[in-house]
Amino acid sequence: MIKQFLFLLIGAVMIVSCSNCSNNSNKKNVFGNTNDTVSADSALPVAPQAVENLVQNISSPVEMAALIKSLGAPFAQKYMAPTNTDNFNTSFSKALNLGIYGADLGYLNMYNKTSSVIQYITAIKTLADGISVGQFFDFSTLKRLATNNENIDSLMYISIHSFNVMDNYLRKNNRSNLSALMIAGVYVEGLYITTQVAKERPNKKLAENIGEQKNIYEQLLLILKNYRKDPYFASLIADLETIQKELDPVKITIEVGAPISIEKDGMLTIKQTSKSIVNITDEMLKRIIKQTEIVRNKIIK
Amino acid sequence: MKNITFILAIIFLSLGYTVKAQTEAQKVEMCSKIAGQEATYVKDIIVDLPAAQGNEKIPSSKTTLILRKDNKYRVTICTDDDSPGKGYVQLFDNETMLGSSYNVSTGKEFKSFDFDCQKTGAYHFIIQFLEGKAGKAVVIISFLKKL
Repeated sequence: MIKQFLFLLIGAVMIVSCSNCSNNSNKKNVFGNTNDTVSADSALPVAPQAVENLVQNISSPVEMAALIKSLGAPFAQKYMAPTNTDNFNTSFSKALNLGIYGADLGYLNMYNKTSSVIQYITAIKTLADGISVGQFFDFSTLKRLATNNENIDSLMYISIHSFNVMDNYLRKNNRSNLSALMIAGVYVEGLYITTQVAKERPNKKLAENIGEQKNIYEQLLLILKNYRKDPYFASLIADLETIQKELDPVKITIEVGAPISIEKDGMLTIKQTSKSIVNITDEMLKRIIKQTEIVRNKIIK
Repeated sequence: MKNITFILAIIFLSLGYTVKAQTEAQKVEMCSKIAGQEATYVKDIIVDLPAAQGNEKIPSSKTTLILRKDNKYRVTICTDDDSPGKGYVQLFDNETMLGSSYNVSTGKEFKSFDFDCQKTGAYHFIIQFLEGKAGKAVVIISFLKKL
């Protein structure tokens, strides 16, 4: 009797312990793998120093959405991916589209469109569960905040933090390939929404921002190419390289200057005086917009 | 009796694990609140560094992030209460240091500093602890506004 009670107690403690796993990025993967088409073994050996130097935040939906909003562009549901997750049967497509929905969620949050948030967090939860990282996505809190239309700041914070925790967990548990796909998804959707806005509301600042993606794009491909032995990755890289081809003619020059530090009211501000000058023609922009549409629509199919 | 001790050990280990996990998330949340209401959280960096040994280089953590042109960012550092060393964060564009939460010449420390970014690209965040002491800290990178 005592034995049975103790076993039950251990079981209960383990369950409680795991319900908080979302907050621990260092724990080992105790969950089974899904029907993986992407194996961690597909990664090429990369020197630890190179891995350390890989950019950890290629794209954040916050900055993309803030840019669009600052230009006065209204919210448009049509820019967002449909939330039909049934088509995503592999870990590869789940991770990639998890990133796509992550960018869409950032866009929704920035425009306070809480009524649509639930369908996106539901889709995110489904895909996250599909690659065994659903425990890091605080679905119930997000749902409550969105349903009650309360505390938009918390909604934004928990959404972004959940993605960061999922990303950290994947990196630290030898599943960086899935992390790379999530990053790629966020990036492609961000670029897609930005280019769609530029298509409908031509704007010099927006065009320059799109042109500047040339530099980020190289970093993204660098990360993905680490897994190019995997045929799914090879195919994605080939698709993304078609966008890179259109970004290539964009000319970016840098004016170098020394940073300026200003201290005011106890607050330190660093002003960068080095700046980039982006030369992008209307024709270049059109081609980038077109190619981004093709690649992104292929991903969400 | 042995069995009960073993079981209790497992229970305490599990609970300890949970508490640690909660603490890490709480630290990030608290530090992002310190960044201010006007700051939108983008990324956190959690560091736990050992003390420097002898004449060796001061241990540091390096994280590379993409920052975008025409954005104002805020970098906030929160050293753990029980950390032996006080943490500081430096921002680099390639080899050039753009700014730091600690001014070496004056000894002045800042909880946060803002960065007006004029060039989209990869930036490095280097975190260290004063005098090469061991330390634990959280750094929050937040977005403030479009410039």
